[in-house]
Amino acid sequence: MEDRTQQMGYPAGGVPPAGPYGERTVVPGGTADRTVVGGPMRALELEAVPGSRYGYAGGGREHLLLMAKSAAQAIGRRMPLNLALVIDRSGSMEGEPLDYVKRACGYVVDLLEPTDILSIITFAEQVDVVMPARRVMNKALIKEHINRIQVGNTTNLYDGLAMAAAQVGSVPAGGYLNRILILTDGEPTAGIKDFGSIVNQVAEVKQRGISVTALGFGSEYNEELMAGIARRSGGNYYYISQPSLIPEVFRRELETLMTVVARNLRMRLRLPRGVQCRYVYGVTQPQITARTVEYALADVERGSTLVNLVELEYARHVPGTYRVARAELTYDDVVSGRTETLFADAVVEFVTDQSQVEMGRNAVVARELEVHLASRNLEKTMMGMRTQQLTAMSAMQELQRTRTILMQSGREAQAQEVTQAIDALQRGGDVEKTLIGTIYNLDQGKKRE
Amino acid sequence: MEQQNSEPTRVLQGPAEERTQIAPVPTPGGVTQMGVPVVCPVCHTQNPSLETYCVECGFLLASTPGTEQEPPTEEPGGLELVEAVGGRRFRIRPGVNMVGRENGDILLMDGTVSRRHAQIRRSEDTVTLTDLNSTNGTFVDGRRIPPQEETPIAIGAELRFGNVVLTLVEAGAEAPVPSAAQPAGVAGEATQVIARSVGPAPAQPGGITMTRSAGALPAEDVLRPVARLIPAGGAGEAVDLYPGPTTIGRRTSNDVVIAGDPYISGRHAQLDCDDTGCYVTDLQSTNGTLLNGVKLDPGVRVRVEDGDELTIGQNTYRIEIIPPGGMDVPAAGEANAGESAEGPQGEDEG
Repeated sequence: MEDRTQQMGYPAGGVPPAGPYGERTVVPGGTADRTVVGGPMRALELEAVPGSRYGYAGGGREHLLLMAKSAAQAIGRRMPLNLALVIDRSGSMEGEPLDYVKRACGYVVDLLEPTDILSIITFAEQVDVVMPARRVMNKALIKEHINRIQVGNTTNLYDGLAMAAAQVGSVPAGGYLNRILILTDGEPTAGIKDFGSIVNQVAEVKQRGISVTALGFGSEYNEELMAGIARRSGGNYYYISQPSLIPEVFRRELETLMTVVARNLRMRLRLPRGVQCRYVYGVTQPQITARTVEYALADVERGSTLVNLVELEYARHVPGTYRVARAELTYDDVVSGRTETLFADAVVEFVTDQSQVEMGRNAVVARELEVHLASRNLEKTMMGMRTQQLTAMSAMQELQRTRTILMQSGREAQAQEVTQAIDALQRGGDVEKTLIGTIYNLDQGKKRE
Repeated sequence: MEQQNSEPTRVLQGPAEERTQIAPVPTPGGVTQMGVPVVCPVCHTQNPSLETYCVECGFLLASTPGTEQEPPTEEPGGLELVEAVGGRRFRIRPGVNMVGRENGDILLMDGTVSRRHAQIRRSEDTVTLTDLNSTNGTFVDGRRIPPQEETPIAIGAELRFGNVVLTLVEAGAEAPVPSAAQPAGVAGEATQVIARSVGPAPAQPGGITMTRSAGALPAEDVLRPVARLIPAGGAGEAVDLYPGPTTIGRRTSNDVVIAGDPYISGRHAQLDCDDTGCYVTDLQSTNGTLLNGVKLDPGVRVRVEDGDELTIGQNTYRIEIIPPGGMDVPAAGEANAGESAEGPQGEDEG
């Protein structure tokens, strides 16, 4: 199955096979489908793989790969959703865009079950609660409300988000997958507008267990802001180039949410003396101390793997075999219905012969490192284009090079996005809105098997 | 801490697996008593019997360590930056050290730190700091330094990059705590070293000397020692301990300086004595502090009793608590219950 992509520039691309639909229609609360007999009782498995199984006794730097793998057959009931749709009804949404948004919202209503909770909020200069947080019972009535949404003028994104957080937060916690979907086509023009305040608000909302998925539509929205919102809350980011693709993106996001098998992931590394953490790839602000590293990771959908790289610094070691890190992954398991903790030890043999370190290199870790370099490369290319230090031609070459790396390292979905960025570059379209999502997805480290 | 029903996933790569044949006994519910404690052959930490890897240094306890090429001496005059929050340590290497959020030598993952924030240049006798036009600025002891200008910095200086605070210290030293951890006047290299209870320890390898610096003398007029450190084996002289903190280490900024032992860290341990007794704290020394042969958890204050043996580096000392003359001791209780070994030079074992 194809990875979730945020680029919707191609209509037919990424229509997922029927498989997940069958699972998704299982009524929450049913027990028959809980687990395959003999299958894993938990949604995830954790592995910790050092970049080389040898370390130089004199000290040095080395990468550590952490992999949270979701077993494809770990079928459990899906979590009921507590979802808020936050819709921009500013003047620019008039006509086709708003029509498609209404259709998309109706689609979401169709897909939800009576066990799910939905709220719908619109924002222009002011915020309206079209539907407060309620169970999805009377679908026809909800759609009627949706169809009454009218355009306003300005864009008060901040207050829209605040209201959505209040609605989602009004539901007694526990047992729900909380998510806000916010769609906008422009810069915030009313209320609190600055990047820092909005992103901090999102971070605060995340503290309450609510993630925000940011949907940017058209060419006028602020991709830094929208990607920032997704990044700070662990939600997803989508760029929707044409109004007709809005329903498809909503469906896809819902699909993603409905296949979540592990959420609220928290990685904790315990380091022995003589091992220090230098860097955590793709994570904005990990808590690093002398002996521990802690950070949150994205929710994991069925069949996907979360890969996460950490750079360690080894001090001088007496030769011998050591555990250089003990990984503890705590998360809410949708399959077992419990909070689980997985452990994995990264074991390295420290040797006095430096050439042995190279011989012990792990190809998987090396490849994941390549992917991260590719992501940084995309960032650089984007910056170069923005500051016009990079000509279109050299940008193109850079993108093609990065695409090759992504293809070689099993990131077909992202490689495809880069292809779209190349197309956009040729057509004079929006490259950044695509690439910023690609970078975010690469940083999240999510991989489809 | 493992949960009862979540067996740890142990992943060992390839051949490493063959080398690690110990049956990983699942630790039930984090129980860490019973059984024979295993002393780590590398760092001498006493491990609960069910641990597979040393809890301190990570060494595979069922295996045998190889031989080291060189002794673990810290490079002389080494400098480090210690992060105020979290206590990570970054070595300052000779030449240019880049400070930044990406790819730096001193890599600080914080949003307020610029990608290339500043650089620290270390030459033979000076350390300078240059801000590289960072967004949120570079500060030395609270003052913002001008960008693109080399500013000299001294040991003990507090550097701030964005919101991240680090202190420049000699390698292995603690970041100075602004509180009363040290008596006034003991700052850094300004300490005078007076050889009060000194003398090279002839029996010890490497000519170990022990000195007590002047700064540690208590400010009050009460100059009565409350305890004494007596070198085991009769080598060297005893060191008197006064009320208040006494730091022990290789560097001259310590109250008690032990020179010539490469296994002693710059700032190794601290003894705190008062009327109620004496306490020892390992200051995250490289090779640890042992009390009666048991390795102390770094940073944890442990009470010592009269007659206890304290091992610091290659040296073992017997602690002698001196009961307050004249006054009776109420709180010390059992501490001094036993006979107080009064002999000035103990001669326990080798």
